[in-house]
Amino acid sequence: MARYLVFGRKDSQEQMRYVGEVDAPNAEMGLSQARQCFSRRDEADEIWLAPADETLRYRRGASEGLDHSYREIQTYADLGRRRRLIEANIPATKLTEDESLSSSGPDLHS
Amino acid sequence: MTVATAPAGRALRVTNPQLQDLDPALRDAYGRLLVAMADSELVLGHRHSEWTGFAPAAEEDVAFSSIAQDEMGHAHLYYALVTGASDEGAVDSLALDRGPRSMRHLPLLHAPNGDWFFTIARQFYWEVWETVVLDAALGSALPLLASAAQRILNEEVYHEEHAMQWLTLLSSREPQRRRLQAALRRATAIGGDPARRLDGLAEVGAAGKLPPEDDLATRFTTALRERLATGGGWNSPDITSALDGLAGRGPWATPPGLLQLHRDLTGMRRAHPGATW
Amino acid sequence: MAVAIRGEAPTDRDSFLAHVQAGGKVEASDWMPDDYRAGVLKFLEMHANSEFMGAMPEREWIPRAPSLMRKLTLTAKVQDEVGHAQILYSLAEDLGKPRTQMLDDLVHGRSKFHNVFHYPVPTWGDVALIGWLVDGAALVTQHALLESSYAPYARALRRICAEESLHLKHGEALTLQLSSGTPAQRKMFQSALNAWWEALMHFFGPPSDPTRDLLIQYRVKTKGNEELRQEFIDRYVPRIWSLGYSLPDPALRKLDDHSWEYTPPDWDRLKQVVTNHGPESERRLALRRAFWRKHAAVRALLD
Repeated sequence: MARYLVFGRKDSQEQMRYVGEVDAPNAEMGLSQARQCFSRRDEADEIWLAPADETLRYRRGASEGLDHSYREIQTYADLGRRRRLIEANIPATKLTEDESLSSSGPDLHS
Repeated sequence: MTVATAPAGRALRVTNPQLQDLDPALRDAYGRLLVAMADSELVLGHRHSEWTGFAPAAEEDVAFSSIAQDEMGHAHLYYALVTGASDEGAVDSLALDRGPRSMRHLPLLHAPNGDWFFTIARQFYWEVWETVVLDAALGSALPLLASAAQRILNEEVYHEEHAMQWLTLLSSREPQRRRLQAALRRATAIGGDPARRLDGLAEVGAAGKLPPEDDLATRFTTALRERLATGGGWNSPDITSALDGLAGRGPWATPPGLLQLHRDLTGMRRAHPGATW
Repeated sequence: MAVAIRGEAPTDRDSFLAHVQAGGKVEASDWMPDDYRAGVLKFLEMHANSEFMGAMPEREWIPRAPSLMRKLTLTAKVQDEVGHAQILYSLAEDLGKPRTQMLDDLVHGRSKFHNVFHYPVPTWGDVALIGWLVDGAALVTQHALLESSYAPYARALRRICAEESLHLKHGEALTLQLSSGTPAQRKMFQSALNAWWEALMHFFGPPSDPTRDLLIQYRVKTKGNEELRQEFIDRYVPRIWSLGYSLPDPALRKLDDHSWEYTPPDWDRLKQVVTNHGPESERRLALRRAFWRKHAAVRALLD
């Protein structure tokens, strides 16, 4: 018997995800049995099988310590507030249709 | 609720409104064939479901149980073609209100499961037969048959995959391969060729609605031989020995197990007439 | 006492205990104290054994189910139980005990399975009761385990609980059909209630002291036996009564504080049953042994 990891997805919108494991004498029977073990109610339209001892695993350990928040959308959490402050300080007569913020340049509104 | 049952001795009544335009003799033969296939699937599904919890490994237990359920589902489909309704009362009545001698399944299928070798041999045998007869049914002019055959064949793809995997696995080493060969020899000795034994099949063939009996028998033998050679790696003399019983023309001994099976299947219904469960 | 730095996996018993008691989870590849590993393995093995043996009472009725649809749904239910055993044996194996060894221990009576699977199933009334109340009891326990510190178990239980919820509906459907049927059918269910009540009360185990339960300390389990039993009684007794059935315990009643009073079951009897001296224990184990041996030639090809 060899152990196989089973992956499945219901439709093409999803990514494959791990759904369980089977013990089988070979990969063909493993795949065949995995369909019944993990998709007999049609939970998955597509199933993949991988030999357990040929998969490599990584698990994240302690945090590395440096600040990587520049990669995250929360860095820009204050954009709305800053835009409102700027708009509040611009006299209405100074704006023409051509100069209005809504038609100039890329949209920075979140 | 229309009921198409018949106690032993009376002809089967096909009550499906969609089949009433058929010539009465053809309708009767078609009905008998449908019930023969339905009873066969019910009986084999019953036997296969007895393995639930006791298959050689848990993964196989789950897989084989799906096959058993599919077979019982196919029986339901065939019965509903005869009654013209899938209301449970009509289907249950047709399936379960006949005596054991009025059941029309291939008798091989009611033999007790025995060991896994006999079970796989019998499943392989019946699975290949179904593929042959249902493939032929795809081209039949009999009303409702082609579409039913397509739906069943869609599930049979998995059954065939399973049978071939087990044929290969059990043939991969001795003494297992010899045990499988002996089991298949026993299955064909008891079963013979379904093309010659299923009630209604010869008449439907003679009426041109399915291939003739000889044609189906040839296709069946060819299909078995081909799979045993490619999937099992068996040599020709071993194949010939295992399929020896196909050429038999009877008389056929009935294997044991029918009365107990019938008691199990119908006991609750007879003990509580009219009750719903 | 070492305190775990946030994000670092514990590598000594004290920080491990702090980790799980703070809601932290444990994976199969994490360092764990020997008693945690042994305790989880034993718990998983018993659960797997119980699902596997749990298939046996109901499978006796698959051949005799009273209609085609019930035959199908009962087969599917028992299939699920075997599927749960498959999942749980795999999890247990990841903690270091091979599946073949667990099965060998089981069929030779060296390991345990839940009390309820040691009892006979003489009628369809028992089949209905098992689907509704035995699965109902199992679901109370398994629902509480969804918070288990052992993460692979908690994840597997999501699938298992979803399928058990379906079984519960099946059991309830069978029960309601009997309850609205003939007098003989109602009597069938009442007889089953009389026969099974003690086993259902036994199912959750004797009231225990959570501070001395290692699995609770380690948050593998999150609720004590009595709490689970009370939950079961509170959920199902009113429904049983409202269907017009009686229960064979005259002391059963709800108190002002909303807890339930009941006649304490015979705990020695439970011990007898789970050490494989129940009415069906030996027969079922013998049947499992017979098939285990019978399949040896096939198992040789699987290994």
